[in-house]
Amino acid sequence: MVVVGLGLAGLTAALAAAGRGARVLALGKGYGTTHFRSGTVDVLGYLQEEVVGAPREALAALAERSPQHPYVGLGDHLEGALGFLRDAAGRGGVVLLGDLDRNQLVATAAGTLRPTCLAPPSLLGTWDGARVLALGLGGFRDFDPELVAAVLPAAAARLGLEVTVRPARLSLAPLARRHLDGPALARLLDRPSFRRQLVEAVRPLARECTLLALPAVLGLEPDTAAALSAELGPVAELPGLPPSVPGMRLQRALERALRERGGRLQVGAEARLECASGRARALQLAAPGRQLWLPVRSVVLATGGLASGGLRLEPSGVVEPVANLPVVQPPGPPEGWFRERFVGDQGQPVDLAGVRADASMRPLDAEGRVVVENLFVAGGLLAGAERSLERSADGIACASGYVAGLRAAEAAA
Amino acid sequence: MTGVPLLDEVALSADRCIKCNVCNTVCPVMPATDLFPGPKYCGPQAQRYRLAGPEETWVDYCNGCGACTRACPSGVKVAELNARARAEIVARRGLPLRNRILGRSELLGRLGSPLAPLANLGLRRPESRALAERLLGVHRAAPLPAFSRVSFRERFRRLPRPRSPRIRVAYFHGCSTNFYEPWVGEAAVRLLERCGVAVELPRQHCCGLPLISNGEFAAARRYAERNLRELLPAVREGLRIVATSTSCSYTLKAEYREVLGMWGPETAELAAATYDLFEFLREQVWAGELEVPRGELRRRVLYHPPCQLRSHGVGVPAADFLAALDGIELDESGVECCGIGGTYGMKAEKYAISRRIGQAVADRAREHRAEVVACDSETCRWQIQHLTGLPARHPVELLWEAVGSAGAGS
Repeated sequence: MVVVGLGLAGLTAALAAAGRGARVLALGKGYGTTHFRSGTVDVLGYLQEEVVGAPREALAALAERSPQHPYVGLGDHLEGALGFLRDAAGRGGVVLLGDLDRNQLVATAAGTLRPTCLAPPSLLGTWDGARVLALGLGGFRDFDPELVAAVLPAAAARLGLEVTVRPARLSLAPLARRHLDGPALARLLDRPSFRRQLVEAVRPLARECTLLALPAVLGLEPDTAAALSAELGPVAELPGLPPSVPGMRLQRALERALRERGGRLQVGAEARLECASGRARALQLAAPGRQLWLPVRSVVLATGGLASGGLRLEPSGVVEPVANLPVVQPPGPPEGWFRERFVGDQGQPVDLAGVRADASMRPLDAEGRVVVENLFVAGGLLAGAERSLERSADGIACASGYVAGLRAAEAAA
Repeated sequence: MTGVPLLDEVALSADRCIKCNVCNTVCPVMPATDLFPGPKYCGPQAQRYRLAGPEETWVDYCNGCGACTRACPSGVKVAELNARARAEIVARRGLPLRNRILGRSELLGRLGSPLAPLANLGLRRPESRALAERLLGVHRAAPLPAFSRVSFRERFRRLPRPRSPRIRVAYFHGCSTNFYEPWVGEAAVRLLERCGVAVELPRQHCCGLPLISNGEFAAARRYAERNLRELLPAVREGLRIVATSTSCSYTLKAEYREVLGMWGPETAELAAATYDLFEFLREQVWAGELEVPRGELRRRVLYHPPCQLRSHGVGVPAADFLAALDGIELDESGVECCGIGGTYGMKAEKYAISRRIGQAVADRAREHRAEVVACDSETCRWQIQHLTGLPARHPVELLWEAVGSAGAGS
């Protein structure tokens, strides 16, 4: 069986199928969301502009309010899927903490605090009453401790928390590099010799603080952040601009787990699906020189939403380009699909477009009939969610990927 | 000046860059040196300034592995842009003698093979290597192959042919098989014969890749034109061009068009007919024409798919055939690049960078307790052998070793 898409939905689907003994190939056009997102698993962060404290309760309210939401059909599988993802990431070396009973707060490099369901311990901190030292690292421009100091206390106060922040910037010789991006810093921090140097320089600065806030670059290796924390006390990584180091850690962990289960990965392959009489027969891959035909028993499509290219906006409306699946269009006339403010607290109606699926994650047409028997859909492709407003993208990806992977493995057997 | 169209689809792909930095996260060179600012800066970002003339020379530190192009979610041809930028610099500023020599593998083979014992002595002796480093800038420790006294084309005449072939193919051996490692071609021809495939050997020339990666586009284009002349008659007879070097075959499939900008119908015809050996065999298996060849290989093997193979977009077909052997303990490297980048790692100023990149493959080989490393591209094999001290073999050599000893008719 083949999974198209290498984001969280695709990797979860591939792992779930491989766990059931399927021979899995996961392929994608390139790397995507895992490198942009912060390595946390957001299930439901906001409901009607209110911060969600307990996703489990809020999910029931969401189902009542939005009966077309992907979580409505997936509700029973969500907890199992999160547990499965936590185990898979753990096998790859990345720990994810949390559960559906309580959201946790992650501070960002913009100084905001946002709710998430699962997060690695290095992104979590005890924020209430914290005296934070926000520490910039040399010439790394994507993390500004002054910005954190200016924004975070007020953001915390809005949530009823008291946080004070002192900004500082560390200059060490190895940090004075010409091209210092997140992964370069992370690789530097993976070296014990540099960590020792850093620890010595930070110790005198960090005496008065209860929490050390650093850019989210604490190693591409999963145990680097813990090694630092063992020396310096509580440390929190504040995720910022892409490429996201915690996101890469999660993606690498999941890839490692997939390889261990005999799965294969192929990056750089753009696919089209060939169907005949209601069954997926082959994937047509764009390869240099000619198209490559890959015979398939079953397929999971986890190609993402509009931003990832899994859905496309054409003059005719929103279309699904890989298998030409029926797409539920955004509500109302096209003039209203986009609001003027790209990022706002009202979101974009176009986000509601996507593919509708049955309980097995098979795509449905407008009449509710299954379109392709051995095709399963997952993640950003699914209709009915306002992911950026709700902060629900990862939970949907995880649960739908899990179900799609299991069903696709059954269909391939 | 390089003869590449100014605004073809590769050049225009730079506009699709959304500055997400994914290419930088997969680049194997960036972690190994500060001299290379990464594919994003050199590729789509610097591209916007290049019409005004190239001033930067960092792009010369790109080793051409293509990981950036494969990982880009927006379809930017990053590595291809970089290869063209290097050619532009070469066209304006000229090229050191060393790069001119390293780019001409066919000429080197023609000169070196007849003098194999003498030439090999020169390649082995520390004094001559030190001299070559001083005079030419070819690093004294860099992995260089030894010339074979008898070329593959000469050996080919003595190889068996199937009595009633199912299908005929034309074999593209490349310079390395012809002049340095004829046994790779021998194993391929014998395996194909066992599979009922008749192998023909059209006249052919260097694919041109070493010239492309050293930025000599005009000379590379001449090789491309000669290969089109020699190979297209076979293609038009319905033969597939089957190659064992995944670097040569990738050049025929993709680089004539995407890097050299030769977008005509003839390069499309050649590209559509060109196959990696294992891609061809897998297609035969999928079509029900061929049973997967069986045999026994009691060895711990680490398979490193070369970056050029990954750019084929066909997966890792060689691994499927190796995995089907009895007794084999096979693992894949999972490492992006061995570092050699064709002639990149042979150059004095890049040798250390290339070693640092390749260390990951050596580490994986040790972890797997590999007895042999399998890899489909020649310069990668030389590098891996150099870094690990283990024998590095083409997968077809291992497959034929197992299948050939299983006896005829199995």
